[in-house]
Amino acid sequence: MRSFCFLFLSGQASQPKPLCGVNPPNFHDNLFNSYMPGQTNKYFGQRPDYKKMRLPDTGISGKVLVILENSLMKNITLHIDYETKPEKLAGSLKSQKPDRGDKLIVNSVLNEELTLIILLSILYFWNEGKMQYANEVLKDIFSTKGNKEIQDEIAKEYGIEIEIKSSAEKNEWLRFSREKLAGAYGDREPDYDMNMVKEPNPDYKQK
Amino acid sequence: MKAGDIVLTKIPQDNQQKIRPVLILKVLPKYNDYLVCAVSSQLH
Repeated sequence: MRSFCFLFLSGQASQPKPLCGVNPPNFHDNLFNSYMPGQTNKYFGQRPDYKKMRLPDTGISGKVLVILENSLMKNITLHIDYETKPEKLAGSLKSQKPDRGDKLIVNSVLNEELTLIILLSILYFWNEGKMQYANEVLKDIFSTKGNKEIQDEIAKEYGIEIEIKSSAEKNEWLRFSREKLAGAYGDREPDYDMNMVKEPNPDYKQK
Repeated sequence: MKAGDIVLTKIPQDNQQKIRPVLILKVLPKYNDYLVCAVSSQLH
């Protein structure tokens, strides 16, 4: 749950009556323009499946607060490692029912280019109708277009915000560190035993 | 333990941990972690 969406509706104290449904244009205008300044998804067009609501009879005058649970933009997280299978990730993506305006967070141990290619496969499995588009993006990946630019274009096409968190560089540093640390000692160098200490610290109290 | 002491501690090596001597360089604030430098007889 990324944000709360509040819709304010007026009621009348003297003549309480149920409010059935919400006018779609007003719904979108109110929800994403008036009451969520700065929180709207820049790739968001219009969520087509607006939620019809029925408010309980109420005599409350003034404003009624409604939380639209089914219409909240959500975060969807995918994890990509060295054994990731795109079709499995696509299944995971489908099960989380991504919708326009949602945010897709991709944690990857691979670099951004490889992650983009896998992401493209995932999105292809998710929506096979966009095969032609996927082919075009694939060409872009191998051209001079920057990762960020391609990422933005995919996001616009699918209506979801995409954030790639690549840990490839961090993993490479860790691997390098482990390699150098291992090289600092001999292959069969035993543990450094207490008996090997030539000048014990007289202040040290052995447990 | 303080900076300048040489102590024995476990250091990860080849997917296991072995006891090695390290030189304490500094005690880091907040969580009192130790910044250490491993000591080896191997010359590079």
